[in-house]
Amino acid sequence: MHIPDGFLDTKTWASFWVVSFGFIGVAIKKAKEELKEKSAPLMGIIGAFIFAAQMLNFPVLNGTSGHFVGGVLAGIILGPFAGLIVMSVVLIIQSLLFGDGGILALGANIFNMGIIGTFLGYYIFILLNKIFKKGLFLNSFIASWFAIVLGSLSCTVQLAISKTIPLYLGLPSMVGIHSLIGIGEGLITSLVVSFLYKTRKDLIFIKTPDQGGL
Amino acid sequence: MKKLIISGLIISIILVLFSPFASSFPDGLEKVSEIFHFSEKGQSLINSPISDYSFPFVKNNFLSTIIAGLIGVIMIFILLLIFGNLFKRSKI
Repeated sequence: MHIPDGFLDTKTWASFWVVSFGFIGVAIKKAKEELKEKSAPLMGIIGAFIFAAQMLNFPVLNGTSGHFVGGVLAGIILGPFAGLIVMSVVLIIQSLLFGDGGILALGANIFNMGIIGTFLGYYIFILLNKIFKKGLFLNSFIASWFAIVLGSLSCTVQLAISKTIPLYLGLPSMVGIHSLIGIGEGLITSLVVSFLYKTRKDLIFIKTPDQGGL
Repeated sequence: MKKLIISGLIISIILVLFSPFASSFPDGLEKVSEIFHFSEKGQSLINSPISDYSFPFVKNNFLSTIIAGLIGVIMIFILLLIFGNLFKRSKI
């Protein structure tokens, strides 16, 4: 879902630069409050894992592939603010070093794959935890699935306001394909989250019931 | 903590070792851009040193992908370690 340069017009990429880097500014401030002793190495590990997992494209329908994104995973384990910093570093390195995702499109990509996952996906997870208290696996699955589908929706809207592809054409195929990719995202997130809850619950950001923890 | 860092890095490195076997089909957005003929609008504004996850100077595709992945894993790990520590220090 990494948007290359050339797909977005100036008003669109510039607006999302402002929005995303504004969010990152707030995240840096807030992450300082969230971070604990173990956070720095944990951020490093989660970032490394997400980057590596993103390289593993899996085939979906009709000669198309998808890959893990990891925003919700980062949000659940590190909290939404530190999670956003991790996702931003991954996306910035991918763009600058590997040419994956444009420089101008960086703000839009951080919004679609970072902010939507670490915030929106994270809060969907919290909300689901409050309703289905024992459903850790399914809750993280659904939250990650939504993060991918909403990310693709946001991407399609950005392409539409850039007049690259009209919404009525782009939406069915983008959201359709990403609702399949989202299943992979959901499975990976659920497996990692369930595994960490069983083995190293102390490392996970969400713990107390009022945060929706289990 | 040391155990956690080592096992986390080992898992990431194992994932990178599998990356040459990843699907080479276009991803969701690439595919849609091909179907609706706007893929040619895509452009690179800078010359990324390790463009497309293949390390230059290494002819073997298999190896160049793995080297690219390892560089990414290590860079991101170190960068976030530095950031995390900066945040912690400035808190006091």
